[in-house]
Amino acid sequence: MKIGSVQIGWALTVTVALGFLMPWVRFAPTAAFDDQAEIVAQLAEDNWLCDYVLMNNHDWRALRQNPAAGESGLQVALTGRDADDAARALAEILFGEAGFKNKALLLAPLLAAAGAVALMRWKKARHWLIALMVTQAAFYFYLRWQLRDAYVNRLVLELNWGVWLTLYGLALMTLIMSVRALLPPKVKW
Amino acid sequence: MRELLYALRFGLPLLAVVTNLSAYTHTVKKGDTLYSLSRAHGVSVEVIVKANPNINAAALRVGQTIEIPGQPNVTGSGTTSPPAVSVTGGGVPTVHVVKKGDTLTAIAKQHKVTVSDLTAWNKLASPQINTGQKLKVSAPPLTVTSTMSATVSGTDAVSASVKPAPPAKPLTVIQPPPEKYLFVSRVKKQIDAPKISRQWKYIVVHHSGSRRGNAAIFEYDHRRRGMENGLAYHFIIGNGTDSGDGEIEIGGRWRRQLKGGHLRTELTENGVEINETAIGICLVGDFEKDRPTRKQIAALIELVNYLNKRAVAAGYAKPRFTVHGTIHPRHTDCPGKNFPKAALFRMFGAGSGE
Repeated sequence: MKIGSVQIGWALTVTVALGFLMPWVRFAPTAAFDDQAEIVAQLAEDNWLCDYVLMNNHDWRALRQNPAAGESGLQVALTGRDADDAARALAEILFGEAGFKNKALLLAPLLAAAGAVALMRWKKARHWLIALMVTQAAFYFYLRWQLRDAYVNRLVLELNWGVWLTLYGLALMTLIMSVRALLPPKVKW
Repeated sequence: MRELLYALRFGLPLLAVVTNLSAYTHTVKKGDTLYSLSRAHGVSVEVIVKANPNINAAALRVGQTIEIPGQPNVTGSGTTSPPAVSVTGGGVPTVHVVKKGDTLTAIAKQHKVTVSDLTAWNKLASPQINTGQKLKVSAPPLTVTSTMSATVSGTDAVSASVKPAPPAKPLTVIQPPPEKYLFVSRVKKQIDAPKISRQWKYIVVHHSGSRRGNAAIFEYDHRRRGMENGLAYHFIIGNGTDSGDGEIEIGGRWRRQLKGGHLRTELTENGVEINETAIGICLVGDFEKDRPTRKQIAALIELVNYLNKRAVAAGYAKPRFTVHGTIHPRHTDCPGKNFPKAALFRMFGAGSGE
């Protein structure tokens, strides 16, 4: 089977959907605060690469500790601040309080699926491909900005594999869509 | 550990390991970060990254080896290099008894050390020496114990008494550098200026409730509202609008060690107004609508830690970290729902009034 942009697009859609159903955040009340100097340094410096592309040390350490625990993206999106579970309530602070409502997280798998469809029909609706690509990129960077901005909240609320699969799935999808949009129409991919 | 590392930097060999003054190879342990390594070894993150171009700075792997430049390179060959220093069992400094006609220069030449070394080791105020006087002609012994994790064969817990023979310079254990502050350092002198004259029991954090402001603006406002001591808070942390992002400004109440004016007067503890014992720190911003900036939080963490240290140094207990809305829940939600209260309470201990 030939692997082209459409196949990659659908594979990424599945990745994003899986990520959305996997644990995103977990309450970590016993998070290590021993190295406060490191926390201060992380907060004080602007590291564009770690903040918007890679992940910082704290997130990387959290990923390896307890990959199965936490609330899924779906649970975070559908429950509000009054939820009993501390993780969900704190996730509202993480994703919701700076004007970004948690329900908007549902856009993640929807945008990915729409992106895959746009890749299938790009010849007929090239403008849709570009519009979706821009929306996905904006969604990705907005979420990364929220995560960066809520760094201190995240010291008691660790991010898990789900959120990274979703985010990187969306980022890759945006990349595939941009390559498709930039390639000449007669090039088959 | 730190003493060892600093001693290593100045060329002390460990027993049964080969050293050279190029780089130290560190094996990454769980929890290690480039920042923690840079702090532990006294070199900057940039220097480590430059020396290790292939590492992923964001994700060090456990077991990965990292070159720490400017550190003795410790490898596991199990032999002692032919160094300028030798390892002795006793560690007793060699002593020279001054004979008639001896001069410092002659003694130094005889023992292949410098006159300044002799002067330093024997704490001589003048070059004059007397017949029969006992002079140390080698550096005092140094006992080094380490549990350092490095690629050392055999054991990684090394204990050795080392005596340089002859040393080029007197051996002294370099003290770790003083703790560096990113935000407090600019106002450290002002914070240190007043002698702590009262037991501060609380550190209470507020937000200004306005998107901009600084100490002078709030001072004017508070005086206008009838507060004769002016600014109600002891410290203001700016958000980059009317003062720098994360800039700490000191209020007159801290300089004069006056009680705060940031809590309601009816708030008392054992009949004493809590303002009497509560340091007020105000972060500029409305955290019902916005989040505090990252630099504001960083400055707050540093300031609270520094105030805690100062209190302990002055012989008092650490003040309890809390926020306005926790100490006075029926009156206010200050410092707003977007203030990372939960994380900071965890950070500053269980006694934070959560």
